[in-house]
Formats: sequence, structure tokens, C-alpha cells
Amino acid sequence: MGAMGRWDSDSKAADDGQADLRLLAAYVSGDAAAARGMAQRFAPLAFRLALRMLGNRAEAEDVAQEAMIRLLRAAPGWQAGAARVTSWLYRVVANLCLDRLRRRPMLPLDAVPEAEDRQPGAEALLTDKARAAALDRALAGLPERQRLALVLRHIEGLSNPEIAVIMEVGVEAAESLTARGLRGLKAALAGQRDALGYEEV
Amino acid sequence: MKGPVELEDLFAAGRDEAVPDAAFLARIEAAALAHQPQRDPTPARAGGFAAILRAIGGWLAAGGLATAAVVGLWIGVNDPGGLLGNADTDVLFDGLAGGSNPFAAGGEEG
Repeated sequence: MGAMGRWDSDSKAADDGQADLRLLAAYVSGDAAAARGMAQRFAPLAFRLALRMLGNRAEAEDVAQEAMIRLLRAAPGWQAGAARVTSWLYRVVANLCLDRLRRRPMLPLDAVPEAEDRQPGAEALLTDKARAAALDRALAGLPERQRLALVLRHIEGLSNPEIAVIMEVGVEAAESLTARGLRGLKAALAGQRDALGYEEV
Repeated sequence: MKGPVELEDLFAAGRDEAVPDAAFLARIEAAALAHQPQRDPTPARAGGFAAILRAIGGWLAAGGLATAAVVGLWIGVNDPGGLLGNADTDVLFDGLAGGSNPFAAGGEEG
């Protein structure tokens, strides 16, 4: 199975969707264990998307918590035939992140430190934390909606039709955003090749 | 970058590094409990007999009570061993209307 295989399985996604609905129903019925299950199942994915969009753990926690509370409040009125729970949650997180990004003050280009000044050594970049930081730096240079599409596709492993639902665009537009985002990311990372510590082949 | 394998390494790091800490998850669990619709706290209403049974202490107590009642009735009807015959019937009948003992009065007339 390829690295993306577990994320691309439609049948697994369908099973997850049904399991999510059962979890939601158990939560609404007053099952205390389901309350814990809601947190364990949905909070990590809300946090993950927010972190990769914002690049800041504290802000990501704020966004994820707000999105989770909205989900908890929406749970009693949830329609079984409505959107997947995860799609709904991703959309809420995405909108909260886009709002925050648009409120951030624009920094003049010369105020941003040169990437090389912040680069750790190649050895340190073997860690997930350093690699994630390098990813965040590259993502930060992308237009917001391309960044969102890219994170949903390659971090969350969603299909383009799912991304289209979340971003409320057509499937072709989702594909275009994802593809342009990936090209931009590669271009941004190309400038960090040496600092990232990868060997050429 | 040398190719898509290395790019996937970064994406994998982006997934693996984004693990929320325990304190954050604990806050979300607390919020989930706080926002959870509550189950109806009132139990289903029991019938009248079940309520009485529960009030007197259950089936065991009800069995003892029934036995005592039957024994009391049997003693009252049969008076085994002269239990009631030894009693002061005048005292027993003092509380009746007129304060007279009809059996005693009958004896005087006869």
C-alpha cells in the first residue's frame, strides 16, 4: 500500500462516516463514554488542519476548540442524510482559519527574516518537528485557498470531490487549487533543498 | 528536493507532528460533557403495587408481613391454648358503647 493508500480508501471513508454518525447519536443520547469519543475522534483532526493552516499551536488550539464546540452544539439537530461529520467540521475549521489569516497584519517583505537565518541544521531536520516547520514555512508562502486545498489533499488525505464539498467549489476548481498549491510548494521547497538535508539522486 | 518521495516525507511529518497535547484534549472532553444533552433523570413510573412493595422493603418483608397476618387471624379464630380466654374480657369490652359487657349482663339476667 502506498503512503497515501490508507487515506484514499473510499470504503474506509464510508465506514468512518457511518461510525461517526453512530458516535454522534450515542453522544446525543447522553452516553458519557461517547462524549470522550467525540473529543478523541474529532478534536485531533480539527487541530491538525488548523495547525497546518496557521503554523501556530496556540492559535490552532483556539480554532479547534471553537470548531468542536460548534459541532457539539449542532449534534442534537444533526440530520442523518446531511454532510459527513468530518466534512462539516473541516469546513468550520477552514473558515475560522481563513478569517484569522485575513485579519493578520500584512508584513512588508523585508520584515520577514531570510529563510536561511531560521534553518536548523540538516541533522535536526530529520525530526518530524523540524520537517513540519519546513513544511509550514513553505505553506505560508502560498495563497490561502491553495494552502487549504493542499493541506486537505496531502495532509488530511481527502479526495478532490471531498475537498470541493468542504471548500464549496466545483470538483475541477478543487483539483486546480490542489495542483497549483502543489506546484507552489515544490517551488518554495526547491529553495530550501540544501537546508532540508535531502540528498540528490 | 529530489522527488515526490521526499515531499511525502514532509507531508507525513506534517501529520505526525500535529498531535494535540493531553491538556487540550482534556479541555475538549470537558466541553463535550458540559454540552452533552442529558438523559431523562426520572425513572419509569412503577405501578401502585410495585410502589407499595418497594415501600415496605421488598418481597421478603412482604412475605413476613403476610405470615404474621395469617397467624394473627388463626389465633383470633381458634384461640389455641386459651390465649384469649385468660384475658380480662371486662377490660376488653370497656371500650364498647355503654361500657357494658353483654356477656356479663346476659349471665346476670339468666
